[in-house]
Amino acid sequence: MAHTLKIDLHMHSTVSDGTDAPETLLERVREAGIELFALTDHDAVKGCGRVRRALRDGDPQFLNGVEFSCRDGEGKYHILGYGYDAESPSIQSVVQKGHDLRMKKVAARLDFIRKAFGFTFPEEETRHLLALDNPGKPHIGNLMVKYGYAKSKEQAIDEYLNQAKIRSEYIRPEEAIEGILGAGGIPVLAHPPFGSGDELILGGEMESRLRRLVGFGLRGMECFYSGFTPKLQADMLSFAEEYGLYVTAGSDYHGKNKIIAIGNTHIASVPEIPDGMRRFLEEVGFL
Amino acid sequence: MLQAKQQDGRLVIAIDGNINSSNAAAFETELRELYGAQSCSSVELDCDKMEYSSSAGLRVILRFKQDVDDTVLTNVHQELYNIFDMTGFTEMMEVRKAYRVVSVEGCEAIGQGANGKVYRIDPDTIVKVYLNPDALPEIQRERELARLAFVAGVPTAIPYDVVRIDGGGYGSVFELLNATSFAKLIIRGEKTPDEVAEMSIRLLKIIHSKEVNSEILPDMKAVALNWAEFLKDYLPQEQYDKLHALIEAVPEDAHLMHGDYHIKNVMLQNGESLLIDMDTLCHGYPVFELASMYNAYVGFGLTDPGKQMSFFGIPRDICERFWRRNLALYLETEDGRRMDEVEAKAKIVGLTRLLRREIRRDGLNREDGRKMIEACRQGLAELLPRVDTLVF
Repeated sequence: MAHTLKIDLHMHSTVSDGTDAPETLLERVREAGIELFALTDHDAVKGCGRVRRALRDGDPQFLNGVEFSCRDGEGKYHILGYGYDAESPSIQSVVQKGHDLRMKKVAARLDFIRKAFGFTFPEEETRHLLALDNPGKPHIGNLMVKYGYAKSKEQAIDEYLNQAKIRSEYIRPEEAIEGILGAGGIPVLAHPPFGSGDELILGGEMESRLRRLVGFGLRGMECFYSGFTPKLQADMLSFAEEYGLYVTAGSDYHGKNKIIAIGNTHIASVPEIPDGMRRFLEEVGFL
Repeated sequence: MLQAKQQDGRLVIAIDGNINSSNAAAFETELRELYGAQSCSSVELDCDKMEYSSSAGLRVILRFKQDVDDTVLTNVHQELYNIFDMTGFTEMMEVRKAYRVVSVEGCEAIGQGANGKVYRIDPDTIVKVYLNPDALPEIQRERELARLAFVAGVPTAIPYDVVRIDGGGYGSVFELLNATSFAKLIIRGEKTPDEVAEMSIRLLKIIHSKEVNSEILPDMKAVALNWAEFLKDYLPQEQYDKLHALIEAVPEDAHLMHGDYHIKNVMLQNGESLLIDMDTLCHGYPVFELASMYNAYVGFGLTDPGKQMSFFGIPRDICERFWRRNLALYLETEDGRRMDEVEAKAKIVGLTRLLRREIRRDGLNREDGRKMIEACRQGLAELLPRVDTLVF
């Protein structure tokens, strides 16, 4: 008989770029009948505490989660962390670094559009923007639309914000992996063939990427993902098997920002739970 | 970014530009709005103006396909096609490649078929440009016919690609190394007309020796009956009845025929004769093939002495002698009376076709048309009383 497992280990809340508050997200997870889930905001862990506080008896099992945006000379990566101790300084220092870098970038972008195009905002707006947990180009874009500098967020990003060549430091993949491991968590490569979301990494390139990350301590791959074709899913499963990695499943739900249904991971497309996923579920105490 | 139109019950959405993470969300919203605002359930995403899609764009297409199952991608350029192929899109949905665009401007025209003109675009490549601007079904059919002939053992050039012609229409591409049409061999003096006639008839006999049973091949007897029936109101009753009876009495025959066999449709490549124009392939009794050959070399020029020169590049008298040589070789005889006898049979069918063609082309209202119509009528009036069978 086919399995009936319903899990979703990749979703975003208003703490990063999702449109549902962590508590609302929990509601949606309940409605979707998901049995195990994780909140994986970009470079932020704060939402997990809010979900935990809202949990009631009989709710689906919840795992602390995070999605770090990483980069090094070899490329860009999104690295998920699961089941870590949120109080651990090991993960807090990575979150803090991510936040600081992001703030520096936001300040640099605001500076760029002021100098290049003369776009300014009331101080109150800037303060509010910098007080957000995870502000980025979309937030500045929205502000530009509000003050009439652009017709849409997309135009703001394309025509103005992307003109800036901002030199920035990034979280390195090994820092993210070590931070997650140090907090007792499991580091997993998010949507592996898509890199940080825009790339396409296949074949030999994927091999060398995995070899490096496994060398840093990577323990899993997101092999079930809303944006995978059956071929990409099969390719990822065979990579995970080759490297002895855990297998996870995530939708990358963002609320209204993207048209992705919560729980859409295609996990029902395989008749049996793959061994790598079974081992992951055992480690996090679900099985 | 998107342009939508409804065509043959499908929603065709043309994507203008590349998709990446900065515009993927807007693209997705617009795509879904366009789909939601109409009632078609099948969608064609036309990628002609899309050179690249980042993986963010691929995910939008994937999600759309998950919700709208009857979605196809069309006009996909090679680089983008490779991405769709590597990521498994080609396995889960129809992804149609864009046709290469080829220009034939300034290229040597080396052949002329019933439905297109053949150009050499480089020393090894020829393109058949179809007259019909919307010729894709025709091209598909001709490819099937070429394959059928090839499998039956007839030396045939098989098109390996379909291209779009710069300026409009479609073409089939053939690779032909050092190939020269039979007509060119005569014009350049590389072969004598007699030598070409021998090569030509040798190949024709190969074609006629093949028996095929295929539903896609027209039966020439039925086609010729149709020509005759068109003439019911244009011929005296007695002549019409005779003509109809003659064609009706031709035996059924499953042997292959080319249908438009002449020296611009056959190429010599490394000593081998190859057919290049297969859209007229059919089956039937050989009198129908001889009729079309008679028309090509003699009939079309009945009232216009310059016709053969303008079509083949070869003077009329040489074409007429060439026809007689073909006939002699085909019948394997030097007996002039026997050749006259068979020529008369071929001519009846040939003139029937020419007369119908001229009338259908409004020849009755043109001076040259009336001349041709009169010549055909006279020919039929003279031949029909003295021919009792089209069989030879």
